[in-house]
Amino acid sequence: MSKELADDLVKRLARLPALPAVVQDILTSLDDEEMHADTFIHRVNTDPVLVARILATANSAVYGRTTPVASLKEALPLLGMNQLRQLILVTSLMQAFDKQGGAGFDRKNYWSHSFAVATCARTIAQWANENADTAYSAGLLHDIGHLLLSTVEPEKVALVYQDMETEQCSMIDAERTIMGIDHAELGLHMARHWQLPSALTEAIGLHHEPDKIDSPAALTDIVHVAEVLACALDLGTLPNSSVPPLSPMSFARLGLHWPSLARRFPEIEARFLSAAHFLED
Amino acid sequence: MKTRKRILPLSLVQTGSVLANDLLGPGGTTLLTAGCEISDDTLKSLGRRGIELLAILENDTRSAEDIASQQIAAGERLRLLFRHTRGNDLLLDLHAVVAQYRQDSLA
Repeated sequence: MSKELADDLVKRLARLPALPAVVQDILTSLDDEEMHADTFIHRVNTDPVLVARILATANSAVYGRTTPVASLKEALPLLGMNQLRQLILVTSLMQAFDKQGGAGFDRKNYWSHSFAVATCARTIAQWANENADTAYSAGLLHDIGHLLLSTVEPEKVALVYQDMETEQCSMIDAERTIMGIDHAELGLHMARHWQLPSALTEAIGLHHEPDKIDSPAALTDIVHVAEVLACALDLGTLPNSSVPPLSPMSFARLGLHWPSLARRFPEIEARFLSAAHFLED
Repeated sequence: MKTRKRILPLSLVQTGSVLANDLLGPGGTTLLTAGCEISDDTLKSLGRRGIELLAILENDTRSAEDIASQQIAAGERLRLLFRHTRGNDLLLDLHAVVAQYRQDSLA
């Protein structure tokens, strides 16, 4: 509809709340096995509300304790650094964006879909011998542009949903018609604004169009296929959801084979159930 | 009593559940044998070992009619989810694979 609205949306990014520092730390250190846990935990400990929420979730997930886990330092050997990092990432993202989203924004559904894609992305990454934690984080953040749109243009997002229903078109097509920009492109701008790692930025921006990449990137392919798989398994979907288009190139680049991957469907569904912990108030 | 297998995250396994398969440790040693009852202490011990998922047996009280109607509903839901996939062979394959998985897991 209007290039002006699209440009305006991008400009308004600068006025958004900054990404929490701890999220920046995690996302820029996903490939860093040597990251110092003490420095990291010290940083998180400066936010007592965040720590309380992390510990509440950790205590519901960790068995083998007669007394609750009382500190992040105590949780570290029980959960391991990677799981603790993911727990902190999820909790801090949800805390940062708790108040985001317009009146019609379904926070639970948004995060449920993000968890579903993240869970599938992790399994696909393991299959393809890629970094599973990075894939999980990318899955978690892939629709961050949608969260932004729901925050700054709730009425237009409501029109998008209407258009999808009446025109039987995809969300991307409806967003482009109504706003001149789609959630993936807006997510790309947002990720650049936050200076996220380039592979993560590309995965957010091109997860619907992985073939637009100049040089193929595994992370973008993983998130693209993960969204298809999550929808096919009916995880984090809406009653009127439909499986999005799949790039045969992405599928081939990852060396996937549906019947073999199907052996891991029960595991994917169980891990998604586990992730649903985060959505319980 | 008829049972069926279900994979659950450890946090959702209830004490008294029955293990569906032998549970092997990292070195291939058997930690628990199929059919054993999961106690609270077992759950704690598995948690300490970093076990995240368990295959358990659930009592299945569904009638043959219940199963048939669940399978039909699952097939209809899949057809709705895959309604925009005409012409994409990979998505047709995925539809078939998920349909088979649903039918098997509901049987």
